[in-house]
Amino acid sequence: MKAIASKVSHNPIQALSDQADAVRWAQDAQCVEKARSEASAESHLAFAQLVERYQDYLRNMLFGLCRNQDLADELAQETFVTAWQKLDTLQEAVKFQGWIKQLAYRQFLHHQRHQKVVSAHLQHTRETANAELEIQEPDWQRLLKPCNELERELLVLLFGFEFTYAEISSLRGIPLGTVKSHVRRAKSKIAKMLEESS
Amino acid sequence: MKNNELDDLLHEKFKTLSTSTHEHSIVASVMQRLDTSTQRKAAVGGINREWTLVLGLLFGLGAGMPAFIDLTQWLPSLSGPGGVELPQFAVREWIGSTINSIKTSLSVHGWAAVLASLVTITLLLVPALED
Repeated sequence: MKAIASKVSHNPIQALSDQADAVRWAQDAQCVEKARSEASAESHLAFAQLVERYQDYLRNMLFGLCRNQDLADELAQETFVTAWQKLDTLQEAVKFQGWIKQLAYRQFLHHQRHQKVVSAHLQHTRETANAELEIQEPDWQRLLKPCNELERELLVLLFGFEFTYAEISSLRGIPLGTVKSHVRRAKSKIAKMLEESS
Repeated sequence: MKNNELDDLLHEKFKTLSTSTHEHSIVASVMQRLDTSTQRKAAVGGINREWTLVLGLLFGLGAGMPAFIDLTQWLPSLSGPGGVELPQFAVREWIGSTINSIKTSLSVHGWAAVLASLVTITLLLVPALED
């Protein structure tokens, strides 16, 4: 405990960020407890607060993964509905953020698996996504250009949404070492592209 | 470019993605869907997924054990004078005789145990694995 305290005091910016996180998680926990309550109106109101708080985060994350805003919004809605249904299975209310982002990633993977079966729909979605990319291409998308689909996905999760390697490995069902080597390969592709462009 | 410099660059560039906001809110649509279609899924007896798996396996094995004991009754029919040995006749005949042995030696209690085992495993394991 002392070690943590001294670490925090030496890094005031980190300490503030940690404090903000702690406050946010405590608020999440309060909302989760209220949302779990039997009283329907109160529980709906509390869950609406959670949706309000995390909608941008999830929509951004899902857009980063599928690169189609309409689809990302649809998947985000599905995620919140699933979260509502499974709210009683959440063990620690303070870990709501980590839990819901995992649900969102599962939703994306489920959609991706379904897409493989419905190949015509896949083609359409890719075309829409590509069209969107041409209209508005922020820096992060330009950086990901040399990477393949899986590498893009892993970088978005790692650098955009603070998933750990272990979380990705477990959710994606691929070995930890494979995740790391994909990320290493993606980073070397990006470094090469940056060197060539400079 | 060094690895940590590249990491910093990626973190910085992805910040624009993770912190961007949307004008149109989806709260109303989500809440409308909750009102119309969804029921809350209760945790399985208030226990978590790992315990559900363990209990499911224990119940499944427990219920299946009498069936297993029943099945062992047909083993001596395959054994010769020197104990258990592989049958000398053709494989198809051996499979046929094995199925017949199971049919005749498994009592009603044994079949009930097999059914109970399957139902228990289905009810407890499948929902847990879906999560």
